[in-house]
Parts: sequence; C-alpha cells; structure tokens
Amino acid sequence: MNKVDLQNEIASLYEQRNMLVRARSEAEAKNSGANGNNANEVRKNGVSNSTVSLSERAFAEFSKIGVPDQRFEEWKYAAPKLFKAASAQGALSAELVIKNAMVLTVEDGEFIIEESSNPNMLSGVTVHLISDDNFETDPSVAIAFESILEKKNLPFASLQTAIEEYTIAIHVTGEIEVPIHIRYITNSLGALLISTPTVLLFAAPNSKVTLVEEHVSHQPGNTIVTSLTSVVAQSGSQVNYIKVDHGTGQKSIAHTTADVFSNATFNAYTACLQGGFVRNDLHVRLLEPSADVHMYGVSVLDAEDLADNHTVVDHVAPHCTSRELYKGLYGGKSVGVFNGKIYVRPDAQKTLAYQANHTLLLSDSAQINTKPQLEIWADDVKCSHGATTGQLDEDALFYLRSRGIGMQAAKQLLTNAFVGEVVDRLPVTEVREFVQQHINNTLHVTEIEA
Amino acid sequence: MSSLIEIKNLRAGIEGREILKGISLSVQPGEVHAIMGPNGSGKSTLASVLAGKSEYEVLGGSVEFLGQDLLEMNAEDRARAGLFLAFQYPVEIPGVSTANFLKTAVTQIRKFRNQPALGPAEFLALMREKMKLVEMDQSFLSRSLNEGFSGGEKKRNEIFQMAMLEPKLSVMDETDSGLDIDALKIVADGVNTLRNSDNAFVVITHYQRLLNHIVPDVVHVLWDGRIVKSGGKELALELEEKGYDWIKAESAVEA
Repeated sequence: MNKVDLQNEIASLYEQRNMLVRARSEAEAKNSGANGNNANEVRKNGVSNSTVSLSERAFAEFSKIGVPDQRFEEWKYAAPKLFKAASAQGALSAELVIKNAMVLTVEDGEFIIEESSNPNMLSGVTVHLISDDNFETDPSVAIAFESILEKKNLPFASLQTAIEEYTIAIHVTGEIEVPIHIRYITNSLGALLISTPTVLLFAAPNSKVTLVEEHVSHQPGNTIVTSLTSVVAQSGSQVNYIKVDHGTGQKSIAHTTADVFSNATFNAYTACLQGGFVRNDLHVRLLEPSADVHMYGVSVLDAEDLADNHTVVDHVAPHCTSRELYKGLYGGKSVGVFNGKIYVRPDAQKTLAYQANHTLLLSDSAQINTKPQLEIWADDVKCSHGATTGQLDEDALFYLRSRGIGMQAAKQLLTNAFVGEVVDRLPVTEVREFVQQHINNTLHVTEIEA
Repeated sequence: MSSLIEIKNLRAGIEGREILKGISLSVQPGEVHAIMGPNGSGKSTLASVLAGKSEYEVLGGSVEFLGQDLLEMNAEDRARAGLFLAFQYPVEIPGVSTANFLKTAVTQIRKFRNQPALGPAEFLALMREKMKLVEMDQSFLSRSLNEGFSGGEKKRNEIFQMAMLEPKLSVMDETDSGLDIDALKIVADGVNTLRNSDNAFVVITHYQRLLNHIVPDVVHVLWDGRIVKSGGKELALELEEKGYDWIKAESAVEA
C-alpha cells in the first residue's frame, strides 16, 4: 500500500457512501412523498439542497490535510510508519473477557448484533444504532458531531465523520457498575481502510459509567482502522474511559474527545500493547468549574511497533484539575511518541494541570519522541510538566541481585514497579490483569539489554 | 576446620585505578572480623567486589567461598550461596514493596538451596518474627523498599533482610554510619542474635563504637588497599585512641 492507493480508496469509499445515502434517501422520498417530509437540516447525508451536509463539511475538512505525511507536524513520527508493512506475524492475542459486562461487538467496521449483549440489559443505559441520515431522532448526536467538526488538524477523525454510515449512541442516566465493553475486531485481510461506527457516550448529570474500548486484530495485515469516540460527561457524572489496543495486523487510528462539565470526573486509561501501529488523539475539554480529569497511559512495545499518543487538555473553565501520566516501555526497534498539549484559557483561573511522560527504553534501538506543549493565558494557575527517559537503574538492579534475585526477575520487578503507577490504577480488574499479563509476557520474551 | 571465605592476594580497581592492592583474609565459621581504616583505604571497594558489583574489575588474586570460586559467580548466585552485603547506602526502589521484594528473594534462594517453597501464611509469619529482631513495624512491609525510610530505618531493614535470607557470611559496609546510639544498639543486638557457630561476619567500620556492641574476634586495619595490621579487639580501642597516623607511619617504614 502507498499513499496514492489509500487516497484512491478513500475517494471511492466516500463516493460509495454518498451513492448509498442518495439511494436510501430517494427511496425514502418516494415512500413519504405525499407528506412532503424534508426535515433534513440536521441530516448528515447531504441530500438536502439547502444546507451543506455534515459529511461534506467533514470531507472538506479532511481534504485540507488529506492523508498526512511527515511534513505535517502532528504526524511527524507516525506518518512514515503508516505505509510500512507490519513486520510481525499476526500473533493470536489473548482474549479480554470482562465478567458481566455489556458487550458490543464491531467486526471489520460492522456492528455484530449476534455477538453483542442485549442493549437493554442494564437499567440506566440505552444503546441506539443510528444511521447517519437519521440524526434528528437524537439531537445530542448532531451537537456531538458539530463539536467534533470544530476540531482541526485531525484528518482521520474528519474522514471518519465523512464516510461512516452509522453511529452507536449510548445514553447513561444511572450509576452503572458493570462496564460497557466495545470490541473492535479486525479480521479483514485485504481492506485498506476500515471505518468503525462512531461511538457517542452521553453521561447524564450524576450518572456513572465505565466504557472499555478494545481494539484487536487476529489476522496479519495492514488495514488502517479508524475510530472515533466522543464522551460528554454532564455535571456530577463520573466516566471511566479505557482504551486497549492489542494484537498486530492493523493500524489503529483513534480519536477520542471528552467534554467535561461541572463537578464531573473523567478518567482516561490508554493501554497500547504491541499494537503494531497505534495512533491515539485524546482531546479533553474542561468546560465548567470543578471538572476533574485524569489521564493515564501505558505503552508496551516491541519489534517495530509504534504507539503515538497525542493528548490535548483544554482548560476552558476556572477551578478545574487535570493530571496526566503516560508511561512507556519500549523494546526492539519500537517507536514511542508522546505529544501533550495543555491549554489554559484566559478564564480558567485556579487551574491545576500536571503532565508527566516517563519512558524506559529496553533496547538500544528503541526510541521515544516526547513533546510537552503548554499554552497558558490565565495568570493564577499551577501547571507543570516533566519527561524522563532512561534505562533500568543499575544500582537498583544490583541491590535486588545481591539479595539472590536473578537478573530476569530483578528486571521484571523494576519494570513492573515502573508501569505499576499506571497499571495499578486501571479500574476494571479484568483489564488490569490483562494488561499486567501482557506486560509479563512481553518482558519474558523480550531480550532486555542491561 | 575449613574457612568460610579465603581471600588471597586480591587486587581490584575501578576505571583503571587499582584500589585493592593485594588483600588476604581468611574467615572461619563463628567468627566476627572487623575491618577498619581511614577513608579511601578500600573498605567499601572490598565489600562491593565480594558482592559482585560489576563496575569493579578484579585484577588478580582469588576468593574461595565455601569451596567455590566466588569471583566466577554472578551477584545473585553469590547471595544464593550464602553471601550477604549490608549496604552502606541501601537503594530506594519505588513501586516494589518490601514484602514483595523479600518474597521474590526468599523464593529464589530457597529454590537454589533445594528447600521447599514457603506458603503465604508461613512467609508472613517468618517476616513478622524476623522484623521483631530489629523492632521494625509491620507497616514497612507494604511500603516501597527503602523509599522515604530514615537512615536508621534503612539500616534496620538491611539487618531484617539478613535475618530473612540466613546468609553464611555477612559483610556489613559501614552499617553504623548515620545511626544514632539507639538505632546502633538495635542493629547490633539484631546481629548478635543472628550470630552462631555456622555463620560469620565481616564488619566494615570507621569507628570503634559499633565494635562495643558487636565484639570482633579479629580486627584488621586496611590502608592503601592492603591489610597492614591485624590484632584482637583491643586494636580497635587503640585506633580509637591514637587515630590511624601511627599505623600509616609504621607501614610506611615497613614499605
């Protein structure tokens, strides 16, 4: 695959989608012709003559950048790897099973109802599949998309908005203890690009929910899989958002946005476990006072893996707190990227914002590119950032070995201690154990250079 | 009786600089040897070389430990065979709890020694018993290893580990540095309790005061990488009184 192939594929996917929507719309018009139903203002499909559709606007936005290359700063490190064939075999990845969870399964971009839980299984949660010419049935969906479109420099998020055919809208009104587990599975061997349904999570005031998004591929391949998730955490709500990438054979490009309102808590946990190629854009806005945001990340890479985490924390309102901690373990010839932007807007006085990115390089050929970017317009704030990169501490290793602990076990202890600060915080036991197991396996098979 | 450790003409250095210039020392089971000497004489280097710290380069000589060539063994195998170094500066390891660390160490050592593994309850009971020896609070078990411990707590933790690992030979590298008199007494009492006819201690120290509590059988004076004088416990008192200058003068004359 090269850039031209991908661009052609994208143009054809967009054209296919438009044809599909046009056909559907014409059929609909015939059926309801007598009623003169033309309430298409909020439609996404573009058949309305009076407004430029969301899809068209999104495609126009995508076209400004197109498929990004190295010259585009935000994709400086990831772009060169986008067209590189995955070197690893599609290793069969362990299965993440979360007891009692509400499971939603998306396979090669299609929602698979037979492999999903009953959408009504939890009281206080509704799940709707909304075809994108039916947004008027749920006004919050249109608002969410408007909010996504406001964001610039996210070519794949725009692309997905332009070409995806339906949306999974999850409304949470109660305090939900069992997690909602969305599995995005890639099996397709030949596809160049798969666009998964966009997920919109609306947490009503004082509700509570945990969303786990698992991206996994079981087959070797180079398919680019885009996903888009938008969270709205209304006042007093608590949202745990977990994203886990594992398995090889896909190139996962995900954009997650969260809008956090007064007294709401948004906790994000991002785990990149040998995903081959994972690009995450996580954008969080703190829109009302006393919003509280935690963002934790752990990347465990080997071979020629790439994990690129771009985060944006946008402090719009005063008296809000954000804490961000990303940790990486990079072995082989893997490449880690961390880019952390923090904006503190003029009104966001009394902001507390912390950011840290710490990396252990387990081999001489692994690399990390880390870049904090803080832009602060308010004057009464506390913001800090820090980044460290290193190898395992020799003195600590010797201390452990001098107590009879073998080299490999000593390295595991120290490495687990390093990532433990993030892993131990994962709020779903099964996910925590899954990530821990993966780290143990990786450390076991990775030849760590002392 | 055969020696626990037999050091012959050991020469070692770091970054091309020779620090130990020919040390010979033989320790029998049941003995306590004190090694004293001024700063820079090579005391800590000796401890590090014996424990197997890789920065140090052995330039010559031999060390036999329980009949094995110690210098051929890596650090973990030395510990498993029964050598213990009480560090002058115990390393802080955030994120690794004292209990987890000890569990790993004891498990690996017992496996090496062909002893059955301890169950969780047995292990906990053992830790509780050994902590009493140095009056350590149980809350230390769940805390990160040495992180935020005071100087005295770190040294007590070293003796606690010694008690857990049951070494044959313990090398104590300036365990008394940074200890107040109460902590010094706790540490010394702990060591005295662990003393028996099978094990031995090499106590490295600047000052005589620790030796009031851990009474040595032999005192050696290390100067410029060599043992220049050996004697009974009264030698330590003499050093305390007169300092090291007379030894330096004496050894200069001999040289």
